[in-house]
Amino acid sequence: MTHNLNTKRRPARRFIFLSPLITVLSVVAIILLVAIFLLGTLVARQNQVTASVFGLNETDTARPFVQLQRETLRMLDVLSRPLETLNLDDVDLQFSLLKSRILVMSRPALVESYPSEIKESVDSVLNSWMSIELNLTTFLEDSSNDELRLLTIDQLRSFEVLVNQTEIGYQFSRALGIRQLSNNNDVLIRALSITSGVFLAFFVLAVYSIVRFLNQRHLAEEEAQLAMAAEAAALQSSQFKDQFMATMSHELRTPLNAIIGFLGVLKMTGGLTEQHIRMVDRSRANAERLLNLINDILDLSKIEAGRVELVESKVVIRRLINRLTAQMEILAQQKQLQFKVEIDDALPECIRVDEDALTKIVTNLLSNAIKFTEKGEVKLSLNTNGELIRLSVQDTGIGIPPHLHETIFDSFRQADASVTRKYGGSGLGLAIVQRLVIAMRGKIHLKSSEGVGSQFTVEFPLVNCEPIN
Amino acid sequence: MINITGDALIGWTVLVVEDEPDAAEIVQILLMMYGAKVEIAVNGREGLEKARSIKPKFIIADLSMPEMSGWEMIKRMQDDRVLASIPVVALTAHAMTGDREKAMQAGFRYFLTKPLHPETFVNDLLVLLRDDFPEARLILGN
Repeated sequence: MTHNLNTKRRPARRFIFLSPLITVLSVVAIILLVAIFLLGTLVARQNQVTASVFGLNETDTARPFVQLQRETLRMLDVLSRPLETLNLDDVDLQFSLLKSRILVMSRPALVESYPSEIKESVDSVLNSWMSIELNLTTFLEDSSNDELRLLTIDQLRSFEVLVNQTEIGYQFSRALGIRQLSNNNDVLIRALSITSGVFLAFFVLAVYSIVRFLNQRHLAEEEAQLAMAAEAAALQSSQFKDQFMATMSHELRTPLNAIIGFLGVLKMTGGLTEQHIRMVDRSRANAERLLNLINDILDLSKIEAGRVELVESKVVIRRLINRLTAQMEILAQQKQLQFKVEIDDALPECIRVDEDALTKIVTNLLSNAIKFTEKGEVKLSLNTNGELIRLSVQDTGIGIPPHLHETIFDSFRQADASVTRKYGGSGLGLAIVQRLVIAMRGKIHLKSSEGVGSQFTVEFPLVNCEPIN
Repeated sequence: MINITGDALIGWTVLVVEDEPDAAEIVQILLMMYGAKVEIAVNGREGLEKARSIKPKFIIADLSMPEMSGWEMIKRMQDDRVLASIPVVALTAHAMTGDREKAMQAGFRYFLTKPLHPETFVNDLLVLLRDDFPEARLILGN
């Protein structure tokens, strides 16, 4: 009883399946890292630009040139009044205001933050202021010097133009900065959205991978469980069949064995009349026929289902043949047939063979020969050529018509339906023999002519008990 | 009343281990016909006990029995110094492929399947046990 179940394990393939996903995931992760780095660089640069545009402290940088220009214009106004309305106190006050504006404008921290484009212009403003400052100081000491006043007014006018130019330059470079800032912001926003997209892709892919991995593991587990369940079911079903066959064959055979045994013993105990003996024989023949039928059906069903596995064991071949022929000889004697057994001397003492199979082959062929032979002889011969054992059963019986030589080995087939009525039997014997011979890697041949007799020859490999060195 | 039909087993004590009474009785009658004294045990455990007490010449044992099977019985006999030498022939209706080989490996001298042939049964036994009892006279010749 073997269970040829396919228990081949599947290779662990889920990692192979997942690896392209992991590759994609790694690439996306690298892109994500690069994007974050670029984004960081951009943000740092943007901070620099912002600092240069708005200065360190925005309140301090609030339009220093505009205020200076306004104070310059006021000074011009104060200084340009007609002499009779000219107020030196006003001039002095305005001078102080102008000085404080210059002071604010020239604060080193603020100068640092000016765009490079206007630095030159700021320098010329400061230079020009130095001469104005000197002239104004001189004028405040001697206000009668009207020539100096007019000179200073001219100077202030060009100073105002200079401041105005500086303011324009400052505004222009600021506008440029803001534009750059806005451009940078565009880049930043784009980079940010790309990075977000990449991150989103990474996240989705990662989640997908994890879900897929878990799913696949789950599926693999489920698959394995299903396979195991199927295996167990198949095993159980096959075990059930085996158990059923064993139980049924036992339950059918036991009562029949008892009937056959007691009938045999009854006859042997003696004291029966001829009529009793005849009835006992008939009962026993029928019981044996039933038993043989049951055995044949069970055997054939096992063979047909492929459930027969031959088991070779050491067999003392002459002893086995003697035992089998002793039983057959009785049947032959009952029909007054000559019964011969010829065993070639070349046949080894011990061979390796499935004893049950060989027993069934010999008894089936011999009982057929005896059954279909009315007079003459039945002969069993065994010989060997060193490689094959040739077992032959020859009779002088009714023979088999040539057109049936092919189908005679089919199940439930006898030469003729009338044969079954006349001779009985299940018609399974030769089918079983043929299948067992094939299982033994052997061949069976039939030679027969009607009214002359039949010869069945079985050839199977000779396996010696001791391995040949 | 059993008629003696042969004397081949006179003076022999044989133990039959069989759970089915009919089967046991058939074997018993056949052995007694040839002069044997026959004891019956209904399972392996009883078989071991009786084997120890009566020291049979040989044992005929069924394989599937309640309480203790023939397989278990032969295993225990193999481990027993006294019982190991007693030949045991398995007799079973429950013949599955491979059982014969298994039975021989387990330590049975031989393996017979039911139905037994009443006319040749005792002769078959003596043929099979020829190595154990070379002095036994065969009934039907070789």
